[in-house]
Parts: sequence; C-alpha cells; structure tokens
Amino acid sequence: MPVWRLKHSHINSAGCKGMATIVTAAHHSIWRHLYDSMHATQKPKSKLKIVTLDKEGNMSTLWRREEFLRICSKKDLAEKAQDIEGTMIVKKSQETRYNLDPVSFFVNRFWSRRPDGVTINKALQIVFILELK
Amino acid sequence: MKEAGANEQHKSIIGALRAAALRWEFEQINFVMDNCGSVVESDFYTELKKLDVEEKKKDRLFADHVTQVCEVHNRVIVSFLQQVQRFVRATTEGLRENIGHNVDVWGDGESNTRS
Repeated sequence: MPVWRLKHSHINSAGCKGMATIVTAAHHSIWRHLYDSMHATQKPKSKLKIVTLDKEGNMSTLWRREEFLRICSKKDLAEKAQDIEGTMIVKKSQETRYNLDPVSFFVNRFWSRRPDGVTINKALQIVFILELK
Repeated sequence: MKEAGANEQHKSIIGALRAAALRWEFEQINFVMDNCGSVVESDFYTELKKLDVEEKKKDRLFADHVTQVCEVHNRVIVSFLQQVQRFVRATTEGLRENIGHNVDVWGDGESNTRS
C-alpha cells in the first residue's frame, strides 16, 4: 500500500517532474494577466515604461534595445556579469558546458537569464526587474 | 525552487547592472504568492505604487489578481489529483490515502482539497 507524503510546496514546484509543465504554464498565465493589468492601469503621465518581453526575451535581447544600451554597453555589462556569475554555483546539468569554456559559460549564463518583467524610467534613471514568485 | 532561482537571478542581474551602470538605480520587485495561492495585500500595493499604477484602480487590480491566482492554483491542484488518482485507481482501488498536509485523495474517483 503506498504512503503519500507530499506538501503543497512540492505540488506547486516546477522541480516536480510530473507537475513541471502545468506549474510553469500556471506561472506564465498569472504573470501575463498581472503584467497586462499593470500596463493598462498605469498613471497616464507616468514616465515609467513597462517593457514587453516576448517568449524569447532574455538579458541578451534586452541589451539589443537602444534604451538599454544607453544604460551601459553590452561589453561593460558582460565584464561585470562574468565576475558575479563566477561566484555562483555551477549546477550538475551545466558542468559539461562549463568545462568546455568557463569564461564563455558564465557570460552566456548571464545573457540567457530571463526576468519575468522589466520597467525603465529614463527620467529618473531607475530600472525595476520584476519577478513573480 | 522558484524562490532559489529568483534569488540567484536577482544576485546576478541586479549585481551586474549596479556594477556596470553607477548612475542608475536597479531594484528587483517581487510579486509573491504562497503555495496555497494567497497574496499579501499590503505588499502587493507597495509594489504597485512603485510601478505607477493608478491609486483608484489598485483594488480592482488586486481582486482580479487574487481571482486569477486562485483559479490557476485550482487548475494545478486538479491536475495533480488527476495524476495521483490514475495511479491510486490502478493500485489501491477504493482506498483513501492522505497525500500531504492539506490534500486527501480517494481512489474511487472522488477528490477533495481542504485548507
């Protein structure tokens, strides 16, 4: 007779193989709804721009946009990112790529990071990175 | 898992940006849901304010968000129960098993969640 001991946190985790697809879809669904709602209810005179991220959106595609390139160059950001990424854990699933070329691995890992959302206020020089957790 | 990923992302993205663009400010805003789908109203409103959402529209936005969270959370739980029931039916037809803090599953096809 099986004995089940599962918690809500496990059921709601994309780390659970059986639930990964639906939990990820649930996250995207909630976020898309919230993101669109915030976009629609912004103050008319707000200088803050909510950036639309498509499915392939990541740090690399963000830093192709003029408005982000004005914050800092891609080269400068890659250098700083490499230093920080180098202090972070390399997961087992990433070890092969890391062993091939550690420097490229850290830089590529940074550019492939995908924030849920981004806003930019050029007037006040503030960027918010948005996450739904 | 999601939280660990978000924290790692925060450290990497915000850290690199702060180091590369000294004249700009960078901040991560987290919209947090707990595992049962609840959202803390005051935290939510604090984040909306930072994002220049109109004051008079925040209550409606919060209500819509909570409704959306509950509906999606329900879909996740139903999906989970369907997967478990398929297994339970095949092995322990008619037996009831406790599968966690808040979820019970009946092998004969009934299901229920309680908080």
